[in-house]
This record gives sequence, C-alpha cells and structure tokens, in this order.
Amino acid sequence: MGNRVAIVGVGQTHHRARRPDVNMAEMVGEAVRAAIADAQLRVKDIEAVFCGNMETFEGVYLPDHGMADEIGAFMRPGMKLDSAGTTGAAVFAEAFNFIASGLFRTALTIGFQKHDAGSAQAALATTVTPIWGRGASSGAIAEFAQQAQIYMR
Amino acid sequence: MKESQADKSLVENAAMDAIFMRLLGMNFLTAAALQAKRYMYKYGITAEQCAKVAVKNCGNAKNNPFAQEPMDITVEDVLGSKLLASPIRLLDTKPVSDGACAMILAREEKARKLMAKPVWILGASNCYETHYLGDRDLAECDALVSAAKRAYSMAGITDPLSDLDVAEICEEHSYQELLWMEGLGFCGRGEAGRLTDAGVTQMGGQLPVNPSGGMLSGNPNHVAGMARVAEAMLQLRSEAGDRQVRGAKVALAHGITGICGQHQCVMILGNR
Repeated sequence: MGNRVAIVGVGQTHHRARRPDVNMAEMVGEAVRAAIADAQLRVKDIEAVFCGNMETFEGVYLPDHGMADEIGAFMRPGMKLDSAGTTGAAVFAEAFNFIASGLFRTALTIGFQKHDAGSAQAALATTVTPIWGRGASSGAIAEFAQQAQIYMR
Repeated sequence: MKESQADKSLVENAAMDAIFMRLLGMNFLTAAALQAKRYMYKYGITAEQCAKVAVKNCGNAKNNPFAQEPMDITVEDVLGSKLLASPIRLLDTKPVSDGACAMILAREEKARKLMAKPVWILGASNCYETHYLGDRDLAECDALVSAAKRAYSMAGITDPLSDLDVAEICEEHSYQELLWMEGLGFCGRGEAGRLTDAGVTQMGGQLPVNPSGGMLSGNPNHVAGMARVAEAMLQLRSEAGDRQVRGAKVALAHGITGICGQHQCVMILGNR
C-alpha cells in the first residue's frame, strides 16, 4: 500500500456551460491558485504536477506545455494523463501512486476541460472502430442511447 | 504510435500558443531549427559536427534488427541532403515512423523470483521548461539539467561520462544529441561537438551514445523514450548482438517532447 496520502488542498472553478471570459490556461490557473491557497502552501512547496485533459477534445496538443507556468510546472517534474471520462479520477489516482511510493511528498493534480475550445463529439467519434461503427457514430449521446436501450429492455 | 496515419506538422502546430506562435505556422521542426541556429551560434557548433551524429547513428542502426533506416552515409551526404528548415537537413532529422513498445515492471522481490539478473531502475525523473520560446535561451536546456540532476542523485552518479557505460539519447534532429549530451553533463557547455569529433560517443569509445541508431534511424515520437529504455535493457542483459557494449553495467535512457525539448526525462538503469 505504501505511504498514507492525504488531500491537503482543493480548488475549483465555477462549472459553467461556457467560459468565454478566460482561455484554457487562465481557467486552469483559477483552480490551481485556489487549491494552493486552500492548502496554505506556495508554488515552491509543490514537488510534482500531474495534469489531466483529453487533448483531442479541445484540439490543443500538449496543453500542459502551453500552461506550464500557470500550473506551476516550470522546472518541476510531472506529466499529463488522458483517459477520457476517467481522466479526472485517473490523474488523481496517479498523483496518489507517486506520493504513496515515496517519490514525492507533495503533488498538484489537475483535471480540466473547456468545451468552447474544440469539438468533443467529433473527438468521441474516433473511439469507434473506423470500419464497423464510425460512419454511424454521432458521439456520446448515440453511444449511450444504445446502452440505455439494451439495459432498459 | 502510427505517424504515417496523420499530418504531424498540423498536430504540432496545435501545441503552439494560439496568439503569438500558432499563426506563424510553426511546427516542432521549424522550432528546432531556431534552437539549432541559436545553439550552433552561441557555442560554435558546426554543421559537420551535427552531421557526424547522423552518420554514427544510422551506421549503428545497421546492427539493430529493430531499426527502420540503417544506412551507410557520409558527412557529405548529410550536408548535401535536402534542406528542410535551415540548418536542419533531411538526413539530420528522424523519418516518419510507425511502431510500438511494451514493458513489464515488477517490485524487487517479484523480480528476483522471475529472473536471476533483473535490470534495475536506479533513478528516473523528468522536468518541464516554460512554453514561450522568447522566454528561453534555446542554446540551454535547464529542464534536462534539472531532470538529470535528480536521476543521477537517485542512482548515485557523480561523473556521468565515467560512471555510465552506454547512453541512449532521443535525438529527433542531429544537433539535439550534442545539446542533450551537454544538458546530461557528459561535458561542459559547447563541448559536445569536440567530444563527437574525438570519437568518444562511437561504438568502442569511452561512452557509446545511441548504439541502437537512435531516433534518427527511426522511432515514432511517442515510443522513442521507451525504445531508448528497451535498448538500454538489452545492453545491460548483454543481449544487444553486434551492437553490444562490452561489460555494460550502468545505462542512461533519455526522452523528450514538446517545442525545443520542453519536457525532458532521464532514466538510469543498472544490472547490479
């Protein structure tokens, strides 16, 4: 099991349908600054940064690189993790793994998504096999509708 | 990663800041060209010294059955190849490549049960640089220096040039092997060209670099770091065939991504 690990700070933005008032880095920065303040720490106290985001959704490649300064990653270890709907949970678990292993004492873990920056449904269509399903795929709603129909039947 | 299925240039452009850099049409190749120019200007590195990296690595690849482009080429061939983005030429850069790599890791007690001589991970670290190219001196690689310092500290390495037996370095372009060698502390700043001239990094040299042939002989970007670890592991198990570095005990594997190496990884492996 490794070392016991605690959550010592949390920060969230207000979750809204659109955030046209900020870009992706600024929006993430709001949550990061709130989490660091909640923990009564400073950026220099953070030893590693783990960032979670599906880059195909916003169409931004390596978004963690573009916001390295905003997320406190400059000259720090860290990585980005993509696992679609489980990204937020998986990147949290990843930070837990690293602290539990004893490699780091503190880590910042971040999940973010900004719909107005890209096309999530177009990205979702690429999860379906190109031969058998992609032509008929219309993103998450159609896929979940199939599951709901079978489950309800 | 299957690079053949996509236009890498378009994807790389989507990694650039949307206001100041993306509209210039930059990709990782043109950004690397800026870095190569700055590095060569600041430290007096020559195009011939960069070309020697490509000659060495494509030659080493002839002994690697996994390599995509083993080649007998000369410095003149490299300098005469098509100019892609000055000063980077076709043979200075890695080819489009498809491939995959997989590994299984185990805790010490399990590893000892599974095999007599496991290859140990002695240290590993990574580090981010800042994003905006104008905020960086591209002839320097501070994130790599920082990642290497942490990995060396874990592995107890104080003098990398003598403590390491073999190094696998991600060189998407030939100049990068030289710049990253300096960031890894194999020599002082600006001295990697002379080290290469002296044959230190050749097979049979003091510290062979990229016996596998490196990225220049063909690895997809998203596999390259693990391919470096795979080669280091084969070397430490004495299973590297005709490219075996005799008696290799400690190996370094390196990975990069991002514009001009914005994210750097250093891993140290050993067989004792």
